[in-house]
Amino acid sequence: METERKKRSDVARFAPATVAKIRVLHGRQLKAEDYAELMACRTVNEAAAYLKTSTHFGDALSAVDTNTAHRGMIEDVLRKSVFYEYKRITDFERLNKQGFYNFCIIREEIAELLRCIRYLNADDKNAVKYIQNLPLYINKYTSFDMQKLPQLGSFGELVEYLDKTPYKPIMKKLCPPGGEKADFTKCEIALRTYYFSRLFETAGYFDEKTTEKLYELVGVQVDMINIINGYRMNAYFHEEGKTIESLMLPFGKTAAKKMFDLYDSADAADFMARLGRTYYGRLMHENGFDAYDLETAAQKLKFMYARKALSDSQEAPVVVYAFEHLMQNEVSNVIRVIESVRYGVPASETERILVI
Amino acid sequence: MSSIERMEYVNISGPAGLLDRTLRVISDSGSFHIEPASKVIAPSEDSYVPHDDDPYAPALAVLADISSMCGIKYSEVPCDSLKNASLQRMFKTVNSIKSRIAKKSNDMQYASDRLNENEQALTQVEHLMGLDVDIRSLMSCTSFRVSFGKLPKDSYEKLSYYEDKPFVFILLSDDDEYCWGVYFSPLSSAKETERIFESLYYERVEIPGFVHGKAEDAVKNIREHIEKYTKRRDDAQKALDELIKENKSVLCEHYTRLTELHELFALRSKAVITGDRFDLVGFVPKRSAEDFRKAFGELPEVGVMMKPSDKFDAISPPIKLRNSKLAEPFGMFVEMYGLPSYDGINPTTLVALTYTLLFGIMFGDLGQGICVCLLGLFLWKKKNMRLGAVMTRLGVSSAIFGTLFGSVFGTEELLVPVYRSMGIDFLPFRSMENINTVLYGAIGIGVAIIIISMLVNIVVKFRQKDFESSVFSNNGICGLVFFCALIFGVVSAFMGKNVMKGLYVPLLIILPLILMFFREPLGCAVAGKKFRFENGVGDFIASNFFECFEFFLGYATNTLSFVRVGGFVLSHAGMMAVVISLTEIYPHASPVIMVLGNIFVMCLEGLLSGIQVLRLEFYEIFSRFYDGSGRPFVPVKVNFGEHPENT
Repeated sequence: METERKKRSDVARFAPATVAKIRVLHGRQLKAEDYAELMACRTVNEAAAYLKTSTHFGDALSAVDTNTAHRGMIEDVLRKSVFYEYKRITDFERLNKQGFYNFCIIREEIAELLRCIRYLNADDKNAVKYIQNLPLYINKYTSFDMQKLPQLGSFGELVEYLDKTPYKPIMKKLCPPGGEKADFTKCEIALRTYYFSRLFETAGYFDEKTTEKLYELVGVQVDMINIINGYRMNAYFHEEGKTIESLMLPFGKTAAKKMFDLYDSADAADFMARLGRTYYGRLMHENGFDAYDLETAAQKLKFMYARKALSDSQEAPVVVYAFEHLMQNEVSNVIRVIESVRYGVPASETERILVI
Repeated sequence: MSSIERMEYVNISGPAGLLDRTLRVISDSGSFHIEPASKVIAPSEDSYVPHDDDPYAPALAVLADISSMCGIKYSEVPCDSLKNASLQRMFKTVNSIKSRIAKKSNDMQYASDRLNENEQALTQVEHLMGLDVDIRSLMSCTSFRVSFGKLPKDSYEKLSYYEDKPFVFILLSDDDEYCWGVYFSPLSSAKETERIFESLYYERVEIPGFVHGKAEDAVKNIREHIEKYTKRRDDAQKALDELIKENKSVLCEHYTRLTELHELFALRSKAVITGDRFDLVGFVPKRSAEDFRKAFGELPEVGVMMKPSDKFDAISPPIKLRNSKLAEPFGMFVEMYGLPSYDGINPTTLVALTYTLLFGIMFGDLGQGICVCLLGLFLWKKKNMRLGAVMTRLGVSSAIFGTLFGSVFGTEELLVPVYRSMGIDFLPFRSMENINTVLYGAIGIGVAIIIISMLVNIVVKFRQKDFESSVFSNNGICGLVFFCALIFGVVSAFMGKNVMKGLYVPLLIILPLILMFFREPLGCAVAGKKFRFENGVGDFIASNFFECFEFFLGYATNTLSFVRVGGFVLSHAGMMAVVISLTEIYPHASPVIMVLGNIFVMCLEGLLSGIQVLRLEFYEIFSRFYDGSGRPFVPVKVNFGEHPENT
């Protein structure tokens, strides 16, 4: 185990080419002025043409006819390009041999499992929509064949199908009796807990400095998830602190006691006031994030941490993880803009929710 | 010496029918600056300003169309053959050329459009090569919905989920991103099929109407069409090029003539027509007045009345600077700031002397000065750049001061033997060993320049009968006395002699200060006007107190500003010392370091010195006497360069 740990930490320390490559790719990411140009487009096709001719998405969109392509297809192409970029990065110095670097695939697997559960639970199943959004481009990297998912009829079948995958024991515990609907919330918590546990575990295999940085980066992301979910449960469902705590991810950078202080707020206003007194609240205020748009503020905070980690670190795992987050963020921004263009949302409103 | 050209005010009057010929004469003279006559002669019931429609505009528009159709750039050419040509004839000529060009252009456009159409069709049809059925007969099926199109590859894999649906998709070809094919669906379930394919981002491909037969035959057919239309387009292009070549000189002649007529016609709006007579006004340099009058010899009915422009108040005369050959290039700095007023002063010679002196001091190096001079000569003579002429003068000055500093491309030893052989021990002057002298010297030059500027202001303002500015202002006699007394007092104190005793301070410092404080009322008194406290006595005292303080501060800062001259002397020497040191550290690369180092220092120091001296000129010198409110003298001339027809 010690030899294994030492070997892995050696790999992490000596991936400078990957770190350099990521910095170059980061330099090509869209900047505020690029988003401004995009928001100035009048139609989706114009926006797609801009992305094709003036941004690094040009390669991904090279074979797409931006005059006729559907908006959904353009968004799929963008998401696919991010995944392939991630694959290229992890293949570059064969980092993909390390368990940690498969975080993206595991995250996508979990996202698809949750989508499948939502689909199985739906009264009015829209198979066409479900199939449309199936990301088959990652199929050859996943631990189960995604193509079979639309053909499953029940949660029980799903559990059986996940045989020989790490998800089976988790899902089996949540299997409802007699063909009833599964508790989606419990499934989500269980799968996310598995994801972050695995992430923290594999992060621990690197040297101390790398592990510490990864714990911080991932910890902030977990905190943001917990804060947003905690706020929603408090504000919209008026749940008690203990109930909220039981449904939160049991990780994070912030101490459990401080998080509980938030969950135990009397109402939404109290929650925001308490949040304002926390480290995150002060950080949001210092950076001018509108804490009342908590979703966007949380995204911006995660973005800020990721960008700082990318610029300050030399360790490949930290840089890869941070950059993958930035890539996902960039595609989310672009999709938001495209949808705003499609539905004629004013640029000033779109700008508010962009994370840049 | 520099001066402002004296102008004669001119009033030209004659029969209205001779207006165009008159405009031609004044345009040909090249020395008449026209002003709107309505400034002098107010339009009334009997008089009006002619604003007719330009009859030459349609012909020029045709020329513009020709230019945009085939990218011709017109140039000014001799057009004597069109001297007596009527407008109608010229219009007919250009129109006929346009029609012929348009026809050829349309042929070419038609061939290009068909070519594009066929190329696009080929792209589509090539993907259907696997189809062994007549495309048209498939498209005309009545029981089935048939659709040709493409699916992203990811979506093609998802078709397997719809095996139970009533449609069939036949894959014909694929590339990296898409799968091309055709689907068939019964009409009854066409809508559902369409929805499914839409969800898979299916893009329908329209097969053009002229595509017939099986895919393979259609491709062959389209390729033949492409070849045919490519040839047709190339032939049309060739014919168009030949047509343009044949007619270019004719077009340029017509362009020249029509532009001339158009510009002259536009000048009609400067005249005023009273009854059946016209009036034109403007200015002519006094030196050219006689020649201008003689030019009207062939138009005896047209009367030309002239008088000196200082006796004419209605319009201020335009400014034309007269400069000596040596100072003329520096006129560009004066024009940059703004032209002087007619009763002002042309500062070009002062700029030339001070700029050359200061730059020479700051950039002093014999070798580098020669290089700057030669570069300037090249830019001036070959590229016709005014800055090149400036650089030649600056280069010479730099070379002279470089000789005094003993600096030749940064080395300070080369000229020592020359001086010693001449018995001169005090040269070369080593700036780095005499830093104080350099800095004090720079301040001394600054003081001298400021005093000269003040003297200029005094003379100019006296001429303008502005006694407040010439006597009582901070740049007038009082300011000059105050400044000189202060400087003398400070210098004397430095040299151990105290002159600030007795009546020195009260007479030469306090009295001028008091007079400057009361400059406005005193100025009014001398001019015989009544002075009023606009905002009260308190405000007058407070504002003048602070203004006097500002004057005092201004003297100090303006004087110390010249320290930069010394600073640049030292920095130039310092930078070259670094270059020399590098050549000593890397002796094997010393020629390269020497060359690159000198180029770098020349560019950097040259640019900085030029900018700093210009700053001194504008802020420290011009601000003392110059207003820059003059209008440029622009003689009437046809301008061929900037026309819409030529862009």
